[in-house]
Order: sequence, then C-alpha cells, then structure tokens
Amino acid sequence: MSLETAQNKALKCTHCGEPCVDELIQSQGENFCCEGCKMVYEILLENDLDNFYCVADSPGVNKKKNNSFEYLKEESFANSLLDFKNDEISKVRFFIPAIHCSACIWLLEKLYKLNSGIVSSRVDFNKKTVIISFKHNNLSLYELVKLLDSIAYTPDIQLENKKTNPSPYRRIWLQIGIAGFVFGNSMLFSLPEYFGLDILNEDLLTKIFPYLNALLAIPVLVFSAQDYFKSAWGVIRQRQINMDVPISIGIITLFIYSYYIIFIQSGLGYLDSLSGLIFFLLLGKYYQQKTFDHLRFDRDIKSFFPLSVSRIKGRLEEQVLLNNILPSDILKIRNEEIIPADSLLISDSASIDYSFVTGESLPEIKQKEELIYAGGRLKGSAILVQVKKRPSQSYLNQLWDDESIQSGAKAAVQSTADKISKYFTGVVLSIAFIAFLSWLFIGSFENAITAFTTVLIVACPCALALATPVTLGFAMRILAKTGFFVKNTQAVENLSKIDTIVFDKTGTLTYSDKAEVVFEGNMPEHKVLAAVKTLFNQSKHPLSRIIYNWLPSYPVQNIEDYKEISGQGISAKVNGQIIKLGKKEFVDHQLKSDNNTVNRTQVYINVDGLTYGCFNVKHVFRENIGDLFNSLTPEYELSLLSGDISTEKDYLKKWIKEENLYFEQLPGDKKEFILKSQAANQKVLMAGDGLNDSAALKSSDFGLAITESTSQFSPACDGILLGNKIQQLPKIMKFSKSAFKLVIAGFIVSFLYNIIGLSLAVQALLSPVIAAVLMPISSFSVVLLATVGTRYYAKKYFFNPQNKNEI
Amino acid sequence: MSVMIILIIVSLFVASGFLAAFIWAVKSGQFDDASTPSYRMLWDDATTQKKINKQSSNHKQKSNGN
Repeated sequence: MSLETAQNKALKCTHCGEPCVDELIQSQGENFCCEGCKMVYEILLENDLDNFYCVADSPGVNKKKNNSFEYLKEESFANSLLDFKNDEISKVRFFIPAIHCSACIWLLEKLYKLNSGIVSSRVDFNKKTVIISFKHNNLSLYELVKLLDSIAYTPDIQLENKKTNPSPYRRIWLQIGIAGFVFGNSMLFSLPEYFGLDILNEDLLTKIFPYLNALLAIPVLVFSAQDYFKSAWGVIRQRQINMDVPISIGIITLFIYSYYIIFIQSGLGYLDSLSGLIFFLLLGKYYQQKTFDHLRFDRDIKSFFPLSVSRIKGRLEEQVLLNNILPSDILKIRNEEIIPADSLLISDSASIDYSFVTGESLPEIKQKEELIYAGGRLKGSAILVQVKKRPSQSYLNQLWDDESIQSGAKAAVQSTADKISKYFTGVVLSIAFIAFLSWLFIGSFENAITAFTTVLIVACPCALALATPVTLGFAMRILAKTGFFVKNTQAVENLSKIDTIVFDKTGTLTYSDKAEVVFEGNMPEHKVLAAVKTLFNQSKHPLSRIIYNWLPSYPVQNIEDYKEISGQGISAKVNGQIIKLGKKEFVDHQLKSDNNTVNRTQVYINVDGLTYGCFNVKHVFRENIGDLFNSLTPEYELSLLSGDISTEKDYLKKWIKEENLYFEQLPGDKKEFILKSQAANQKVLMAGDGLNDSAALKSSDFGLAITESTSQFSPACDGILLGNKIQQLPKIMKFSKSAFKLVIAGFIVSFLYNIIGLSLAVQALLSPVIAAVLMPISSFSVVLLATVGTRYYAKKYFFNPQNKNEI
Repeated sequence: MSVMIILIIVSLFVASGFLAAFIWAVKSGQFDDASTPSYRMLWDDATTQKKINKQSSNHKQKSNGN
C-alpha cells in the first residue's frame, strides 16, 4: 500500500493536515485526526488565536504524545536553563523542532495572549528557536513548557544546546563593512585627483590625502582581504593553484605599488581602487555563499528526499516520514535497511555494517540494549529499535552524497567545471605576466602594473564556478518535485550524458508489491506457515514482500541464525526446525535444476530437508510499459537484464531488440554487463530496485533505484524514482540534458565576459575598480540564467512550478 | 584652506562612529536572523478577509463560557 493513496481517501485534519486514518473526531464542523489536535484547536479558538489557520494551510503540528516535564519543577535545574533572570523577568531560549512555517512564527509570537505571565516571545525561524521573556512570579518554567507542549510546540530541552552559535556570516559582514567604509573615504580623498583639481593648497592636501589613504588601506588589507591570502597560501603550500592565487597576487601588487608611489614618488597611488576592489570582491563572494546556502537549506530543511521508516504502534506497523519520528518511538528495520537515527537495540542482537560511515566493511555485532548509531546498514534478520535522538535528514543526505566514504564507490568523476578551472588559473597568470612584460618593453611601468593587476582581477571565474552548482541545484529541486530524487549535482551531470539504459525486470518494470501467487505442492500445516511468514518478513527482497502479503496473518515466531544469500534464498532456525526458502537448488541440493523447468519466480519451501513445494509468483508489468520503451528507443540503446527465465521474452521483444534481452542473470552478471558496455565507451544508466542489484547500480554511470516507498533508501544509487512515476523517465532524461545545456550556456556567458574584460585589461584600459564591479555583475547574470532557464524547462517538461505555501 | 583639514578630520571621526556602530551591531547579533522579520510583517491582528470567507458562521458561539 502506498502512502499517498490512503491519504487521498481520508479526510484531512483541520489542525495538522494529516489524514484522519486511525480515528476521526468531528467537532464544531471541523475534522481532527486525534484528541491532541482537537485540544490545540480549542485552545486557540478560546483565545481568539484561530487566525493561525489563515496564515498557512493546516499549519499545526500533530500532537499525539503527552510528555512529562516533572524534572523542570526542580528550581536549580530550571534556573540552569535560563539565559537571564532578575527580580521580575526571566528569559529562556528553547529549541522547538516543530517550527516549520510562517503560521508557527505567528502563533509563537502571540504567546502573551495565552498566558498573562508571558511578556514577549521572538522566533528565529532558521534556527527553530524561540526566546521567551516571562514573569517568573506568575508562571514557572515548568508551566511555560507545559503550555508550549499543550499547543504541540514541545521544546527539545538539552543542556548542551544552551550556547548559541552566532551566524557564520558575521565575519564577512564586518569585512564588507570595513572595506566599504575605507572605499568611500578613500574615494573622497582622491576626488581632487579624479577631477585634476589644482585649486587646493598643494603643499598640505597632496601630502595629507595620500597618507590618510595609506593609513586607511591597512585594515582592509589585513582584515578584509585576509581570507583570500589564507586560501591562496594554503593551496600554494600543497603545490596546487586556485583562483584565489591570482586575486591575492593582484591585491598585493597593487598595495605595494601604491605605497611605492605615495612614499617615494609623492603621488596618490591606487589605494581607493584597492579597497573598492576588495569591497566588490567580497560582495560577490557573499552573494555566492548565500546562493549555495539557499540550495543547501532547501535540501536539508525541506527534506529533499522524504525518507520513510516503519514505526511500530501496538500491533500495527506504519510507514512514517522520517521527520515525524520522535525519541522513544519504536522502529522496525529490515535486512539491508539503513539505521535512520541513533537508537537502542531492543531485539537480542544485530549485525550492522558501518561501511558508509567508517569505510570498515566488517559488520559489527551489537547486543540488546546497546546503542546503534545512524547510518549503519542492517545485515540479517529484522530488528526493533527505540529511537534515542531525533533523526537528522541532513546527516543521511550527507552519507548518500559523500563519495569518499562509500566502499567500492564510483571513481570520482571530474565535473566539467573542475576540468576547465584547472587550466583557467594557469592561463590567467600567464596572460598577466605577458601583458606586464609587453608594457615594460613598450616602456610604461605604470601601464604594466595596471594591466597586470586588472588582468588578475577581471578574470575571476566566479561565474564559471557558479554555473554548475546553481543550475544543477535548481534542476535537482525541480526533479524532487516530480518524485525523482537525485544524490547530488554531479549525478545530474552524469544523467545528462547517458546513452544506454539497462533495465532490471523484477520490481523495476513489474510492480514490486503486486503479483499473482499460486502455491504448488503440499501446503504445509499452519505452524510451519507461521514460521515461513515470519521469515519472509525479515527480508526486503521483492518476492519475500509479495509472498508475505499473500500469506494469511499468523503470530510472529522466534527465529535464530537468519541468513540471506543474495540471488539464492533465506534460511533460519524456527522452533527447532531449519527452514529454507528460495531457489530449488538452494533449498535442496538433491533437486538438480534442469533448465527447462527452472523458474526464478518460484520460491521453494524446505523444512528439515523435506521440500513441500513452491510458491509461483507471476509478476505484473507496470502500466504503459510499452509507451515508456517507445519514447526511450529513439535516443537510447535499451537492454534488459532479468534474473528470471525467458517466459516474457516474446512480450518484451516488441520494444527491445532480441539480442539485448538477457535472462537468468545473477547479480554478478549484471555488473559484468555494465562494465563491458562502459569499456565500449557507453554511458550506462542502470535501473533496478536497489536491493539485489546494488553492485550493478554502483558500477553504472547512473544508478537509478525504482522503489514503491521511500523506505528502501540505499546509498548505492545516484537517484531514486518512485515506482508510479516511471513514466516520467523520458522527460526526466530530456530535462537533465536541457539543464546541462544551461550549464554550458553559463560557461559561454562567463567566457564572453572574461574575453572582453581581459582584452580591455591587457591594454591597461580598465581601472581596477571597474574590473571589480564587473565581477559580481557576471556572477549575477549567470545565476539569473540558471534560475530562469531551469524554470522554463520545468514548465516545458513537467508542470507549472506552483509556489505553494512553503518557505 | 586649512579649514579643509579640520573638516576632513571631523568627517573621519563621524564616519568612524558609524563604522563602530555597525561593528557593534554585527557583533551583538542584530544581523543574525534576517528571515523571520520578513514573515513577521505580513500579518496583523485584525480579522482578515480570508478568515471571514473561511468561517462564514457560528464562530461567535464560544464553546465554553469563561
């Protein structure tokens, strides 16, 4: 059952917008999904705060829990949480994870209406904190926390969270402020020079102004430009080069030359240009940082990739979005699933593979009551864990994104931008020196210096560096809206270059959760079936899930020695009996598989050496598979690798060339096939279910996992597509190509600008300030191109991007 | 012309005052949260038209008289 279909059927809760699945409470003509939500609604109505529901649509936070805050009654502990206290007023800062939209801000800043003891409250949306001033004689901290809890904004009270971290931007603001201050003043002192005014008392002013300039330039050089020097020095020490090197050389040259003019030749120098240059450089840098931050914020906060996990409530198991998981929830984790949050192991033991986190591929064995950290992958039978810490979506995104810690990861592909910028710096430096020497040769030292410095400055590759991440970052956002989640921008670039598509059949082209099951042989007694059902529930293999859903309900049995052999089957000891489920030759060595009757979609049962029979699973192809193939065929070479026998060959022959249909493939064969295609210089996209073909997904140029629900999160793939969106694949491919064209267009814009700038600079026609002003403008134009372009293509291929009520 | 010198020195002092104020403002965290105020200015306490449309009737019947 997919999440969405159930949600569409149920009425939505007025308060939190979640579907009223378990229960429906109707009160005052509104629907609520639980008592908690109804209570919050009534509290707000009573206090004339129901405008809350007008600020955003169903903005509330689901309130299903009652927390105890008894420990806050202890005076000394409560005081340790306060930021400030005097005779009357106390100030406290709470971290409230539930803050997620503008209505939250509205409500939390109206707290004084709920209780007269509250003086004021201010929200910091990005940090999800609220600072509350209250009269502690009328309202204790305990009561305040209870009040917040009653409206479902439960504070996350952690002692180590007391210190606040200042904004990382403070430094660059100060740098910009100081550079701007000096820039303005230096320009004023240089005015007489600009206009060639001789009316001033030369003796005095021409002496004082340059000296003032020289004095003012020092903080700019030492503080504002500091980061450029640090970065340049860092790479030079590693015998490398980056774009901060020419910028630093330019700044230092200009500074020394200006001091030489002021103190030796009694001229004015270029210090006004220098501070202006640094001012604009920093502005460009700030703009760039902001853009990247915006993209990252999007990815983390809006939970780019909506991971869901299985939560156990009583006897029921439900799929819940990761962001809604709270400490002390019980989760069920199956074989090959990722541990989503730091938790305590409830089951007896578990073996966990931390290779994503540590690179260590040997699984660690954990015992009951031990703490398991997020990011590990479970090997073996399913376990129950109790969440200790709120899961962090961004941490898991990072794991998915981090190439360096993935065992057997793809060789790091160099992005096009990296390749270009490597040569860029060298070329710029040589142009600068050639211009310098040419002017010296002509005989103008002043022009030589001007040309040298402006070349170094004007050739800033900011636009070049921005084109890829910004364009592809926006493309990722749009793709995520269509139900396709991509790992990182590099993956989008790889996707745009694909020319060969390899499909896995089971679970990819067929429904992984729908199939026809027929039992053949002697049906075992119920006791055995109960054990079999339990065993199937441990595995994430699509066949196991299908048969598990098909079997009737039985009480769960205790199992030991669970083993899952990829491509073969599963086995375990239940109630003293050894049960094997899987391929014919796996469950019983006596049964030789003769090639005519072997069917990979048969799952045999063997208990203590006695084979009962098998489940025949007939897969059902997804709808309109034909249309999908038809739209892909003109542009891509299609192949199909399936683990099954070739029963559907005739059906698939209509769309895929017969020589490209391969059946009875083991996971290793799939990987071999991909490596062979890559050796023939093909760029291969492998579409699989991400479970038993992860080796193939890893070795392909783009590994696409097609899943029914987002709980099957496997860091081995580059992209995750929801099964019901597979029809979108041709459009997605086209869109990625267009997005990459935009990146190239960005490069062209950046190069044009550089060519024009450089050609003026070598002729010493540019003043350094103009060179520095051109830079942010070029960056801005590239970002503009990226945003407008991706939006245009999104409209063309998918939809009109609607700005729903989101932040 | 010597008045120029005095004026320049005075203007530098005034400007430095502003610079010091800016540095203090940054250090005391006044610039740290630039996004929340942008939402804060969007609402007021008056009953909005949207609300009138949304809850056409029976809103005035308070559930429990307090």
